[in-house]
Amino acid sequence: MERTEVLLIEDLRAGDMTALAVLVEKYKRLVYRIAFQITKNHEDANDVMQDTFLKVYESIHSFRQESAFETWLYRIVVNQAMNLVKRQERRRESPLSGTTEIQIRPDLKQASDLRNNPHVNVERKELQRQVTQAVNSLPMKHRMVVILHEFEGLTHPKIASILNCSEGTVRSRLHYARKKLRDRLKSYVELTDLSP
Amino acid sequence: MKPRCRSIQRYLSDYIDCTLSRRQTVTVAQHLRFCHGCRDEVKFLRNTKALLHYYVSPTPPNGYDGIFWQQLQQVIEENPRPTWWRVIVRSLSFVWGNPQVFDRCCYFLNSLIRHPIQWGWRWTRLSPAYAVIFLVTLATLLMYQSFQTDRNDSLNPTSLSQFLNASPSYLTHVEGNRKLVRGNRKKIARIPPSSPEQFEHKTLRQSNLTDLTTKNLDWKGNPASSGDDSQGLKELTAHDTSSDSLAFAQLSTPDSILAREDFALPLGVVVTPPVKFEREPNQLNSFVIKMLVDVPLPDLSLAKVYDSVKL
Repeated sequence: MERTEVLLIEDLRAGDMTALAVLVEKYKRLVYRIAFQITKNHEDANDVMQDTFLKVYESIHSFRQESAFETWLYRIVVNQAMNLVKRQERRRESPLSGTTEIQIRPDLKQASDLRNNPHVNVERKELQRQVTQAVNSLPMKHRMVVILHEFEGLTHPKIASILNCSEGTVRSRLHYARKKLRDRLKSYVELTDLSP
Repeated sequence: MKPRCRSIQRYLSDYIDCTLSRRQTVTVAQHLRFCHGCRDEVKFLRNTKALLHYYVSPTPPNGYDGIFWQQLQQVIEENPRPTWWRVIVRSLSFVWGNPQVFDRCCYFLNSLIRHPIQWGWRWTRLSPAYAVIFLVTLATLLMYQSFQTDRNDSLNPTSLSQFLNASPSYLTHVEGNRKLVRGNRKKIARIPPSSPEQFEHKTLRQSNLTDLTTKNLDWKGNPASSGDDSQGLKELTAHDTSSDSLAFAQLSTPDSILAREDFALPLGVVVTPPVKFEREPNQLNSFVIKMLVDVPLPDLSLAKVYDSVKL
């Protein structure tokens, strides 16, 4: 019988590892996605993912179920990833050349797709690369809002509670992020009509 | 830009998300009917939003899910929180979860603080209690800090990828060997390399070089010295002529690095042909490249980056 999330949390509080296994299975892709989008490489995403689930395991007692578990998890993964990035930025004198290779990981996957299917539109791949690069080049606070709103589909109040800021701040950051993206993708934005 | 447009454009992002109030929506819509500039702006913002659908969402590599759970389970089993920590966490969560107990604790603390203010002469009498509370808090924080193994990361300013200008075109698979153990760097650093066999076993398991066989491995230096770490790991080279994996090289560790027990310098790489290393004027970089060049193979190139951690 499938256990509900509330039951899973209760079981995890009692030290049931199978409850943790179910939660990991359910949320691992979400956590990995967010972690990768913030840290921009697999290794750090790996670390963040591990820290996140360890934190869930250790701090489940402090989870008071006032918000949804998913929101709580979002908050943990965002905080862990942002802390890691900030730590790295502090100690890094110049950007790593090595991260570039890891950033293009999805592109490598695409490249293999391209080999398998020669009819795939090359321009589309280039557009994907440009969009990914534009999003990755946004400042952290703007990127966070774009990731949570555009890719995760979260509402403004939820994002505000995850990022621990006001709803107005979220709206403002989203607005400025879109403007920056518009400037960086100018050639695509102004020459094509992509709106539905 | 007109002042009216400027005030309207602040709402355009919310307008395309349909998150404005009804009144604001009507106001913006009315403005858009007559303002070409703002209408274009809306169009561009919509296009930008539509373009974001082209963003490539990252997915974990194949086989990663199973490995992750196994390692997480291992970490939890191998590194349980100390008893004192669990007692504190459970006590705090109990207090936090029960409003009555929480209120009573607040009241108690409040009275503890207000007590000496109301009766000044008792301050001196209660000062030992305050000192004890302060010391206990300090000790708890210090103990907690010792478990904050992330602190080690701040001592580790570099990674192997910083030193090597490897062309990304042939890096089809980038994989770190960081074992999913919180603070693993410190712990792994303390493991003495007791014998080549053990070391080789770990290497094969972690790097998945299944075709790297024992007969092709050759140690240089003095690998089997369990007492002295600086003599322990020198260099391991595989004379394997297969095309996919030629050699595994374990670079020697400078004494200063071992003494500090951090992993500021890269310690290991897996290499396959052909070589594409570029020399940098940086001394540190030259050191690393020298170590790589020491591997007696004609053509080498970086296949997997083992990021700052000993294998």
